Amino acid sequence: MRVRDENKEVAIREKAMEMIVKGGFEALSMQKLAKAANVSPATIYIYYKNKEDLLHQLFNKAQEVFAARALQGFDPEASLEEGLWTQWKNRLKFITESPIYYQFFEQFRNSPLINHKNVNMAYFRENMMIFVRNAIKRGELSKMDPEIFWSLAYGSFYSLVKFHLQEKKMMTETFKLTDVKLKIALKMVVKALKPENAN
Amino acid sequence: MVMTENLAHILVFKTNINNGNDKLLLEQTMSALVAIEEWSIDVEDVDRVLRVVSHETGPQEIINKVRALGFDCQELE
Repeated sequence: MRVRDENKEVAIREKAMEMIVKGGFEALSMQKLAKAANVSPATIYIYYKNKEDLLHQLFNKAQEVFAARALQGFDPEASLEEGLWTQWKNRLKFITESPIYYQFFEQFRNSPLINHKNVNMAYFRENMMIFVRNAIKRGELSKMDPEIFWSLAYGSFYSLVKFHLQEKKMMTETFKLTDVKLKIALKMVVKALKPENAN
Repeated sequence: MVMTENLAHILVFKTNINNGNDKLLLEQTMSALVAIEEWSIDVEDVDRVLRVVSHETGPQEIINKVRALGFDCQELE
């Protein structure tokens, strides 16, 4: 009997992401993937109809994994500083432990290939929205365009991650994003996000 | 967690079906088979993989139908 094999599925998924990260979307074919993941082409086709279907499912799954990791121990009722700290720490941990996901997202972000909404992200988005609304209510956060909020609250973080991963370089060749440095940046970001009349 | 979901209802075949007319011909046959829940063909792959989801149709029945159209068709290893 042919049964669903979770381990095999994960292996196929991660190998596919690896191939995409290394050689772009063009580098991936169902046959090459079968060889690389050490499974038969038939196994690949049990799970995926074609390359496009594979990419869509891959992206959805990767987002699901990201959301689960980002929400670990995250309380949307927490203060802005505490909540952002959890987000930054969770995301950094995920990027360091599973860099393939991060690289895969980076590849996707710049690709016109797939432009679709992932319904599975609703729970994640809702948590983030509640967190932001709470912070506004408590006077920790000024009202601003979501794009401005993201750029300050997360753009700054991802920029530091790029330095940490040596994708970007400035003064030193060996910048490491330690907890201390991360905390310094967080304090400044939290300060910048505060309404002007607040202390 | 042990997943024991049976996947025997997903059938995959290697064919020589190409784009255009071949696909149209196949479509007529496939849509006439009521026991088929879903089907697709990947003409970009060298194996031109036909994928069929059906809880009631066996592989041989599909192979016979596709071969009757004049195409090669065998279960994909």
